[in-house]
Amino acid sequence: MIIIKLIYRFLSYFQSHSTHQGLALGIAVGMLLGLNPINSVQFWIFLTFIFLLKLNLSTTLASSLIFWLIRYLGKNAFFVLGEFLLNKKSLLAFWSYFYHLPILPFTNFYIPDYLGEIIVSLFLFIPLHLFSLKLIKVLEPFLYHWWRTTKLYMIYRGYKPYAR
Amino acid sequence: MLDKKRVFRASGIVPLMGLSLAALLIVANSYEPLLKTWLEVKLTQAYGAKIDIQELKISLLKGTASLKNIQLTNPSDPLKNLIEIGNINLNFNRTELLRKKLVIELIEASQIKAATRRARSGIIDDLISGSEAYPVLWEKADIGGFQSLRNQMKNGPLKYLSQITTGAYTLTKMPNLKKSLASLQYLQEMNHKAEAANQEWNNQTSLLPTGNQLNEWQTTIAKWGSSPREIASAHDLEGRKQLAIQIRSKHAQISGQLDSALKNFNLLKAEMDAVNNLLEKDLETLKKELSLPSQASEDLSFSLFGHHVISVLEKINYWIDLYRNPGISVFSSPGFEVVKWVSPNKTEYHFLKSGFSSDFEIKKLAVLPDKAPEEKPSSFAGELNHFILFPYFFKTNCKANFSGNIPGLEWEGLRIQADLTSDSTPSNDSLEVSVDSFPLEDFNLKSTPDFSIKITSATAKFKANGSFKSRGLSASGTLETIGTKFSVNSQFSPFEEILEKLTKYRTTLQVNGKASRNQDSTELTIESDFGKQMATEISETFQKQLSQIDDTLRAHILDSLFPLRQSLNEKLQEAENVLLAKMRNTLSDLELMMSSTKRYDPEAEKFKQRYSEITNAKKNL
Repeated sequence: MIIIKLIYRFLSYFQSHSTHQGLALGIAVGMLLGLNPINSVQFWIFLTFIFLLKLNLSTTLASSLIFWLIRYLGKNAFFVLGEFLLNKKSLLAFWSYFYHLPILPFTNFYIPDYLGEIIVSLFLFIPLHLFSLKLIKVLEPFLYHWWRTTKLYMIYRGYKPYAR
Repeated sequence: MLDKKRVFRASGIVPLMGLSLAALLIVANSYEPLLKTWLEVKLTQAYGAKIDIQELKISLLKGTASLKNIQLTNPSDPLKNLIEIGNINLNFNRTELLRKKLVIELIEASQIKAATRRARSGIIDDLISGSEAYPVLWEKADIGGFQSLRNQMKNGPLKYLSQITTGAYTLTKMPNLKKSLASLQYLQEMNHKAEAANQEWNNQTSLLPTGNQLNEWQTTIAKWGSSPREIASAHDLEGRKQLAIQIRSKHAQISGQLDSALKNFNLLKAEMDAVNNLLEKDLETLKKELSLPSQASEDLSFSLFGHHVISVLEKINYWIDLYRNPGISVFSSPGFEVVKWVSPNKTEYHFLKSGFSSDFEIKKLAVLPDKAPEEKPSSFAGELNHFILFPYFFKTNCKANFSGNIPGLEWEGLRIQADLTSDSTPSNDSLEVSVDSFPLEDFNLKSTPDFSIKITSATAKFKANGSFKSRGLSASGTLETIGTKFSVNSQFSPFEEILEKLTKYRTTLQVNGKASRNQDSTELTIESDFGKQMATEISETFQKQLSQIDDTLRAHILDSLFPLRQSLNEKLQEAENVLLAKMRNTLSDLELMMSSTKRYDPEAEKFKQRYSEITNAKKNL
């Protein structure tokens, strides 16, 4: 019984912070997690955001899955962008400086597709957050009603004694 | 403005720290065995046979690591180790590690034993090798490099030995060689010439006076008999004179044509006979193309020992190449480069490389002599200084010096000296290896489907040195064996006799080799008494078979020439029997008419005189 309660408790985190801000932040952090590979140090730093920021875990998970797919499909585009930036003469001193700093080489920024993904994810973070905020405000009434009519929600509600 | 209270969650810090601490504790307690297994798997995959590490201890705070009892399986004898290293202690730079650079200040290896027994077989199992089989350490170096030399060896004289020995020589390469026959080309040219000449003669005969015209002239001349010159009218006489001049000029024209036609005809006939001289030349060319041993003194050493030498050269070349230039520099500025590197599975990587420090560097490696009193001590010791993976970018020299005796392998006086210099452009690396004495057992000198030569036991001495300048190579080496016992085998009894004769009383073998490579070509020469003697023996014993081959080749050339020759003969016959005969006949008809018309031709006498002069001159000739 305790285990089931714990599982529900854990699942309740997926519903926590369902505010507009929490959902939008979830999408943006999910993008950071989805676009950055697991074997880079930045992924683990972004993972701590789940604990440190008030965000909705469900949207983070969904967003990271979508952006992981985007990263997989757009591998070549990220490579081209990374290669362009790495080969840019004016940036060479900057990369060189980075390369010799502690920890930073663990981001694998010197591999073109990694650099492309880092750059895109960092530049996209604030615009995506603001865009998501607006989008959620527009879509919320429709999505809320639709979600409440889904079978999945019915099952969840039926089993969860303290569901709203 | 960002509302910090709405965004940040202070309550998350405690679980995050708790989780991080727990993860850190788990990793700290388990990373050594995990790293040891990972290292074993990766090294085994790269090496091609099992590498076992008994213990791995790392202290990140002190910057030290130690490995105990490292066993490298002998790939050709999985129940034995090639080398067993008791201890490896290494110090690494902690600050550099934070920068993702593994700089090993010192590696010390001690308690090195060779050829020790393994507790379990060192064959690589499926679990480790995985489904994606890629070339292991031994096989990697065999990919390409000296393919032209390998081809040269494949097409060497020994390729045709079995055919020679059985006397069943088949000219499998002949269709390709046809094109290179000089006699064939010559006859083709001759055919074209004859065709052109026939065409010209044909044109000339078509312009000859027709039978009707000749008949008409003859009738006219016959009529002159009924009306002699004395009673003929002036007009009639003028007509007769014109006809006489016309016949004479026609005669002169045809006579000239026939003369030149006969000259050409005789020339063609003479030229046709010249093809016989080219046959001998073609025979030699074919023998050369087929790589048949043509001289008694030819050295077969290259064909006999070439694959061993090429294999060693390829291995050295591969590793030097990999060490020297693993990637293509896409962009460079002083001390800094962007490098494109293609992995063996063709994946492209781009690396940013710096001249200030490396991703992997061994500053000093020392192999310590084993002083364990209870065992036979090994005096093997050595040093490696400044070994950097990707030295191309760091302009540092790597020097390796190893020397000693390895009791387990019975290797005495081993010396390895490598100088990998990256600070000069073009690069100039040198390598020297020598062993005073090492055992050779069951060593396959040459093994083909037709015969095999094996050294069953011998004591060998080896010395080689080479220098590698950019992509060029210059190397030489010697292998000497004493107390050599051979085992030979061939399915062809005459050849087996030769091999037995060569090896029965022989106890020594000396093979010298020299290799050079520049951008255009690679050359390898190998010399040995054995190879020379074998060529002489083969040449003597198989003289008959070789003469048979001569006949076969000659017959083949003649067969190839037959259609061309026949066609040429037909053309010449047609010229002689049809075209030239027609000219001759017309000419004799005209001469006959001229005997009747000469009375009316003022120039006839002069012409007759000149004509008889030419005819006489021709007769005299």
